Amino acid sequence: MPQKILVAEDQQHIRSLIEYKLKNSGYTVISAEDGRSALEKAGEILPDLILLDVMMPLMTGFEVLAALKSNEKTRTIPILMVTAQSKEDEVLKGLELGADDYITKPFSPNELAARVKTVLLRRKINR
Amino acid sequence: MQLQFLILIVLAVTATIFSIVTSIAMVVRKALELGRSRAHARLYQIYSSQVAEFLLIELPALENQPRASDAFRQYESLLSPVKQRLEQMNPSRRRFHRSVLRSVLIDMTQDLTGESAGRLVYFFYSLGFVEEEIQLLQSGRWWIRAQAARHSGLMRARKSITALTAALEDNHPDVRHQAMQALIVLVGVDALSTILRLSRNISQWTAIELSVIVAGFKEEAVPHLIGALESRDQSVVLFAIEMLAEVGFVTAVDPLMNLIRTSRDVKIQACAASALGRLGDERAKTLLTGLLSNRWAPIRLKSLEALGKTGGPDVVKLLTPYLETADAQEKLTAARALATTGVKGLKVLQEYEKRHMDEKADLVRQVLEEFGLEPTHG
Repeated sequence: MPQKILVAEDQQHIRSLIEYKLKNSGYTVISAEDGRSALEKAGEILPDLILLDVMMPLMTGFEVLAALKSNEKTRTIPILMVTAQSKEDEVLKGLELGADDYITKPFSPNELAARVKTVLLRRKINR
Repeated sequence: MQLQFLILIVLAVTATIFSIVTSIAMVVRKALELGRSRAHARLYQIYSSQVAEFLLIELPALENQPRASDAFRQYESLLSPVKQRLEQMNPSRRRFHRSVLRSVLIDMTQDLTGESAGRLVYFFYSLGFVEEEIQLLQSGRWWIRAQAARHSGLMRARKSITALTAALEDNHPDVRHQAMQALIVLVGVDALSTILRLSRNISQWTAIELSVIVAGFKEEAVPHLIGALESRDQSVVLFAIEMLAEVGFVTAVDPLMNLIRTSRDVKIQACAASALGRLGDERAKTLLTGLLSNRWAPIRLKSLEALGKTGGPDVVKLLTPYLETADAQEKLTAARALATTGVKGLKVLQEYEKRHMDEKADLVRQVLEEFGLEPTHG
């Protein structure tokens, strides 16, 4: 069964790129356009990985991350943060809150797919 | 009386009709805007998915040594269905679709790197967006020119370089600023020479933006800054001096010394003296010492400061007599310069303060306090 990835990203164009790349890499992709719906969907579908943008309406990526990590059901889901290149503090904050890895914008779709693969592999080994 | 009443009634009715018509017009306009914005969002979604596919679809591998045109042919085959569809639309619909497609492509170019970003550049050229932006750089409205300059940079279209270079001399600062940023994206550090050569009356805001660019390039920017020392515009020269001191690369020392010798502008000479101090290079000491007897006070004061930063026992010896000068500003600057030299200079100040209990040592006391040292006489 293909692995499920939740893409939480408010910007349509980036979401389209990520969705296309991940679907073509063999994953099932579910999307959320804001932080709150990302949190709800994560609780419902329990994805194998969440790609989480930092800047989102309703709830920021950090708030979603903190909520996911404080919930018994979702705390083990690996998180890959998507941040702006110039914001080192965002990266550090995300990692401190429990994110497994991060990718900065602008990004190469191939690099994104490789990182997703690595995080999922790491999770499989750790189980 | 009756006529007046009639006029009032007519005016009231006219005003009521006017406000009703205006309200209806506003509601209609809002509804149209909302409809347009919804249509834009729907179309944006469609084009986002389509462009994502164009950018990420695996294309058949080319031969061992493919020509650029081979890759372009492949990219063109992706675009041709979209182009055909656009051609079949009426002009107004086509304009709308093209504007949405352009915004999708521009948004994507800001978030993508790698081979996909290369495809995007081709799309901009092939769909005629590069040409359009070049034409918009000639618009009579400054905000359109500024946006066109920004878009040209984002499109990474080298064809725009000439038009962007011309935009560096635009009347509006926002257009100049966007052109500057776009040229840096397109040409890299080498664009700095052109930017500085064509700049006039650099505003504080532009100076901040430019300094961020220079800071990004660090020592790579030094040759271009040295070149800018020859500018006829005072603001450009002052900016270049400031940035040479900020970057702190020793190759700047000789050109700055040369500038002091050749320039007749007091502000430039003073600023260059100050920069030499910040660079802290021994080679500048003789020149700075000579400037202590310059006829212009700003040059003398900046040279005192600079010598303090250069440091060394010889400088302490040189600066000490200035504590006796009658010019309060010179005395204060010399005291601060001595304090900057380090322990020896501070010791000289402390001894001076001990020797003079009266107000003659007030300025020295002030400097000692500034440097966190307790004066003997309060």
